[in-house]
Amino acid sequence: MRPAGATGHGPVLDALGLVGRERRRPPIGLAVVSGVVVAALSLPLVFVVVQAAQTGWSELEAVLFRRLTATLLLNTVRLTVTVTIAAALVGTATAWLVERTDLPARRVLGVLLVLPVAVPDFVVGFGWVQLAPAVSGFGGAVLVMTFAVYPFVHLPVAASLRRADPAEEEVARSLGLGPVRTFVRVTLGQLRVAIVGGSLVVALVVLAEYGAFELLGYQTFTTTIFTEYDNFRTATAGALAVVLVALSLAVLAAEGATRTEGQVARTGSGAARSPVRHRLGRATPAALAACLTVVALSLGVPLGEIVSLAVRAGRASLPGAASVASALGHTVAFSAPAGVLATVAALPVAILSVRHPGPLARLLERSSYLILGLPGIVVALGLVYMAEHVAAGALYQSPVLLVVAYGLLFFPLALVAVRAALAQAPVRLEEVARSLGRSRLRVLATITVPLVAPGLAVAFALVLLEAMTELTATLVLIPPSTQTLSTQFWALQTNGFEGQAAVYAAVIVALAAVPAAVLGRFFDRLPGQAGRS
Amino acid sequence: MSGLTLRGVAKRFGAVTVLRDVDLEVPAGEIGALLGASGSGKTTLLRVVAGFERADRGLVSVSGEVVDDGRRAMAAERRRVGYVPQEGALFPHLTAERNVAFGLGRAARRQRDRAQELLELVGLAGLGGRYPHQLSGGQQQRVALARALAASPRAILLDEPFSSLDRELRASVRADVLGVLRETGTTTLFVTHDAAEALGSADRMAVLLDGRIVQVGAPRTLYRHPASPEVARLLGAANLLPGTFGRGCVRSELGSLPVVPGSGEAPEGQGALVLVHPEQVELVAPAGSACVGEVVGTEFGGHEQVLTLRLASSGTTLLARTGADRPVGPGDRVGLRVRGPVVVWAAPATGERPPDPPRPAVASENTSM
Repeated sequence: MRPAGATGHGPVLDALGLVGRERRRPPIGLAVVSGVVVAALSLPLVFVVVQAAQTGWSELEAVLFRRLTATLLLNTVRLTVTVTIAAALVGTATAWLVERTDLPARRVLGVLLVLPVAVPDFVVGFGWVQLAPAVSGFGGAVLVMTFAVYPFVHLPVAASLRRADPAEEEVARSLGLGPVRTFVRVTLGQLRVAIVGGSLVVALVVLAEYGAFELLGYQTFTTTIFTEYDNFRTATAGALAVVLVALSLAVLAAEGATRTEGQVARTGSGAARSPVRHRLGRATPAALAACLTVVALSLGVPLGEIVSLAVRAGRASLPGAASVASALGHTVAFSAPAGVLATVAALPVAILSVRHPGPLARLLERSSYLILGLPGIVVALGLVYMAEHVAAGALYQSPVLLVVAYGLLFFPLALVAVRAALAQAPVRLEEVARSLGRSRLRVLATITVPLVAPGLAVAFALVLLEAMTELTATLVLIPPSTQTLSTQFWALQTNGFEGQAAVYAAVIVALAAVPAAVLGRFFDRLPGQAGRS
Repeated sequence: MSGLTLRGVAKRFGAVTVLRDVDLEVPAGEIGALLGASGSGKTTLLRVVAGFERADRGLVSVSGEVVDDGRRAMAAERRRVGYVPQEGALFPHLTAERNVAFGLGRAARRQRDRAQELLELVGLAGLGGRYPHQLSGGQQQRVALARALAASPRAILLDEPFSSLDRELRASVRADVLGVLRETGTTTLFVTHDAAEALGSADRMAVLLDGRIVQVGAPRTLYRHPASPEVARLLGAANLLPGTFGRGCVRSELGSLPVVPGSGEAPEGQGALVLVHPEQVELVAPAGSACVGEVVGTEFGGHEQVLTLRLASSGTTLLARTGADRPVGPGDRVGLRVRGPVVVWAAPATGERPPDPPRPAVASENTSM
């Protein structure tokens, strides 16, 4: 017989015992490429740990057990817990009102309540500080962050409510449960995964945030790490980074523990009926007022303040179109390659995890999500250390390093999007293509990639959106005498040019709105695709 | 020349054994059917032949070439074995014509004629520009066939190819698809859980039960001489009654019945299991009849009817398929007679449960061919 060249899985995986005989074994090439991607993702963490190890224990001890560290820990944990709970409440309430009640203008409100996703947290903080200097400290940080991040809960909860089978609620009602008990015992159960998942994203975002807290004058681990690094106390920054990573990874582990396998909300064919909406009745004005308040606090304040600042500054003191265009050019020049990088890197990992599930795929996929637990400042510090010590400084403050940082930071977003698209593309099609004589790589190019093209576009858009609005890692890694929109904004506001800073903030928000709109349309189309026969 | 051959093929998924020592042969140019209930391992068997799964043991060969020997398996794309899954699985981003062209070699792809020819062959000339979602289920199935044929495969595998179509369409699409395969002399193996489909369309069929091939042969032979009561049940509604071996006959509640030559033999007086096809049961006047039953259910089928009867002597239920011209209804008493010889098996050892009563008449269409 002819040997099985193309399916030769090779003895390596077998020898490692990673792949069970009963599983469809992944092709060796795919496993290797995915392994390289995951190894690259772990680089920042490795270098942060290496740096801490080289600092030496006595020095670490001095940093970790000083009084300030305890204060920072208390500050950070207190803020994270408070904002997470507040955002979970706000996000769940707004999602339920929009999806399950006869709230007036709910379509418009549904869009407005999601839009704050496109407004970077440092812009929100900037708006609040400019409007009311009294907003500061712990209270200010809770207020600003809650209204900046609640959409991370609103979005998954709303999606979950749209997918959930209304029959479950109807059955509960028919069993004699009132509306409140139905909500608590049935609806909340359906939403548990979405609420917990969204809340943990909120916690990770709060842990990683730099700009907003710096503006509000509230010290967390991230702001202190940044200050230490800025003052050339790299070892101290590295030591604190280890604690921050431990906090983030703990949150991530909690998220993993609550996630259930297979989150298909509905089996069976046919479209789910749209649920009967609860009638708000006399509560309508109060519910409407609450939603409008959320919109006003999350969107109205920062956007209104930006516009008002720009107008008050007057035409003469506004930045020239040329410098805005240059910053815009740099922003896109760094972000777009990162989008491509993350999307291309996500493809093999997604194929491995969707098409060849097994111990190896699980291990690699889980490892790739670890990067979620690394705040931007930590990734930046890890890469700086790597550039200085491994690459002999060759990459330090080069555009490549910044693109790589974005690609690493936002890789999980790309993976989620590509994975979802791949799971919807029937594996049968690929099998048929192979039975027609095409090799794995040809099938990938002619069948798989065209089928998941919308998913790839979404992955690219998500990474682009996040990279264009990133501030913390950008401030550390930006090449000398180069400015992106966010670093230019930061430099201007730090030096008291609020009017000019506001113009940059406006451009950032406008830019971020474009991919956000693309994403919104994609998610609207998803159910329709599923129904196609 | 040999078409498809499987020898001793075994396949496990973890602790679950799906295929055990499967031997199967489809001679070149013939159409073979693989009949089995869901979960019997039919689809796994096809996927092993296609190369999507690897056999744990055994030998798979196509046109005399070994493609899997349990240790090394040739890649699916090099086997030249066509595969048509249940829903056709057309590439949604390609038109019908480009779907077909996907199966053509690089040179043939440049000339559009070949794809057109194949679409014509399956009766879809002029629809090449349509996308899959603009085609009906039957049309999609035909395009899938044309696409598989385009790669000039050494054999074609069809996985429950017609079960997603509604019933009227199913018969005509099946006739067309298998007609094309017969015309092109393509070695074909299709799996189905529909006994009528296998009996009506295949040159030879195999019955798969719990991962084991329990019987192979021409459809007519299998229906007349099922190797076991399980096969008889799988092939359609079957009456299985207890009886006793006699001299050249078998005694049962329906009287002393002649036995099909070559069917089970055992010493006189030993327990037997008797297969009476529903169409062997004849209704006669109850007066003077040795065996009398009461009609408890009727299913009118236009040209025929299926009656569920309860035997007066024991209460055993029995299915009868008769002409639809005789009006009978629940409560009527009828006399019963069995036409022609019956198949018998030695009854399982005492202490085991008696045979299941025949299934209700829902599977009645299964044996209508």
